[in-house]
Amino acid sequence: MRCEEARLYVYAFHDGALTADKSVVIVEHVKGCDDCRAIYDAEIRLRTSAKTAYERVTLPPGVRERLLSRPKAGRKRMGVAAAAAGLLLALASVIAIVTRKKTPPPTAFDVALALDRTPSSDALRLQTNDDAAARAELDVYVRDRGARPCLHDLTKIGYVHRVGGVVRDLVPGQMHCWTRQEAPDGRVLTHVSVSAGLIPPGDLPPMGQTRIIERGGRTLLVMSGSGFV
Amino acid sequence: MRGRFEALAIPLMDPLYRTACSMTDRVTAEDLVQETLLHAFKAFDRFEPGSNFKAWVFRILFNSAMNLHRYRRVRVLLTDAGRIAEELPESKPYLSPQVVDDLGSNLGDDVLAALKALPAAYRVIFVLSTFEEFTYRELAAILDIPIGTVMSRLSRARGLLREALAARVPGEAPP
Repeated sequence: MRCEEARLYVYAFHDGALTADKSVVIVEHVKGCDDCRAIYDAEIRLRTSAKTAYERVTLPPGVRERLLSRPKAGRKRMGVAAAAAGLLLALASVIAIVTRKKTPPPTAFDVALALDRTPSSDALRLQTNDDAAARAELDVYVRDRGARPCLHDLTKIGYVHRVGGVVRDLVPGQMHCWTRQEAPDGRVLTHVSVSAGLIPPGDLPPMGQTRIIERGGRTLLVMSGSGFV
Repeated sequence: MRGRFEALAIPLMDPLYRTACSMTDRVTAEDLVQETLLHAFKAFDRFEPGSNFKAWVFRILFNSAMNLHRYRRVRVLLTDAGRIAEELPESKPYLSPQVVDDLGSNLGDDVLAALKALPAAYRVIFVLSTFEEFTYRELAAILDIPIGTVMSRLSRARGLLREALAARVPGEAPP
């Protein structure tokens, strides 16, 4: 066996995907070839180190016992219909306009906590992250359902941007649309979609209108809309 | 029956949780493990003694994930795999020993960090193959994809990982 051929099988060999005969030939070659042995050994080191690090992740304390003690008590989940219905519920979009250019932008958590500690919306149970791949995932999800779960038109506040929101875990167990982006003048816009019930009635503007409120030391622009605005 | 089920399932709780964490956040991962165990327990009388219980339970994990996300995951996995497929440059089919040497004692954590940045389709198949040590055939059954797709997806996952790891070594050219 030539080195070039032996090196084609590094992964298949370690995956146990080769026939016994082929494996024997490779072992024989690697025994007598320092360069190929270094490559095969490197793969073993990578797998061993990575697996050791990977296995540090274990169920949190108490969860194992909880799962075993309640094998029939599945947590209640929303169905597709409920999720779709939820998406059509009246929502209020809250846009926090943060004008600090040089301080770190607020986290989604900051915004959520500034709003309220007990968000009650269960309309969105999607979950993703705010990177390009996750946005692509959300796009596919949206397209496949013929809906736009979180696309915000910010022209009302002076920016002609269509902002595709992403859904994040703002507080444990609660998913809400959240996004942030830098406006042309350097301001950071952060918004979070929540159920109207999260906003005190006195702060909620009439449907389709906006109102500026102060909350948690931040200036928030609250828009009321039906469905996703 | 419950005792027999628990004897088989308890050792898999952490592996199930770790795999679920590679697909979603940790809170949802707990839910996924719970739903998986629930479904597995209900269906345990249909499990064929002597067959691969781990592969059977992991198949349920992925079905649970699909149900939980209303089939979103499947479409997502296929979609982002296709998207990346055309972007991957050709490279040597193995990781340079020099890169492994240079990463040194951080190797394991560097691999996990690089994995985290991979599209979900690649991350999950890498985890199942390399860490959970499923065969290609088992992966095809668990993920409900053809074995050829398993191999090509795994190959691309490793290609992306090689690139990412090489990028973590100062002065190391991409493979």
